[in-house]
Amino acid sequence: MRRRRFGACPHTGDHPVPGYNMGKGLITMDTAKLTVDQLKKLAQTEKQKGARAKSNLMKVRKSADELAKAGAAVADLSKKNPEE
Amino acid sequence: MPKELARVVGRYNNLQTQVKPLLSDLAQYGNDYIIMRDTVSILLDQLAEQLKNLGVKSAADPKAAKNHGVMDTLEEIEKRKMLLADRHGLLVPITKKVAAIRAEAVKLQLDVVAVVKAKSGFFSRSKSLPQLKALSTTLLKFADELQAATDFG
Repeated sequence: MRRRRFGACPHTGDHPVPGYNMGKGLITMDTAKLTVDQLKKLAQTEKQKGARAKSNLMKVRKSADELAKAGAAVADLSKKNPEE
Repeated sequence: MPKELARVVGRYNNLQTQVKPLLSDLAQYGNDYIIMRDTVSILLDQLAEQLKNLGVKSAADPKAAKNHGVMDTLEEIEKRKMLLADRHGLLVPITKKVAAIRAEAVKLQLDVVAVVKAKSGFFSRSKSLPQLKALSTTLLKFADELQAATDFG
């Protein structure tokens, strides 16, 4: 399979997209402009975003389990004590 | 009073049937998001290392632009960024479901609070009060955490 040339159109892979022509020094992509320190900082931010999403998903799953237990307890009591 | 408790239980059961598929959708979207963010993070670190080894300031440097390793890493980063942007559209229906379920959880919590209030008389012998209070607390906590879990900024 022929590899798409970097700087080529991301959709068709043939004609170059303005600002994507890396070979002629017309680099306008944000990532290409970043310095080493900025790249490292951005890498850290990306990592933190992933970690935060992971933590939030775990919290909501735990909270859903607690809700299921609390709801089951009320339903059980309602069944066992119809006068309630 | 038994009718009120039965109504709360019925609404809770209805909520639960909606929560399970929502959490599954959320987990699927979230796991893909986490993998992509982690991959972008690794690629950015890799690019930083490649630039450092080449002794250039950024990938915009002509020396870096001629380097296949740098170009490949940049291409991979761009691919991931595009994928993330494409997948963002999948979050829209999930966010709508989250808003509806959150609203129902909050309404149900208010209903539970009303039942608790009605059962909390001075001579009340209700056995369900502690359970109802626990349900009220967990409903609010769940609503808050559901909101936070859809924040994929």
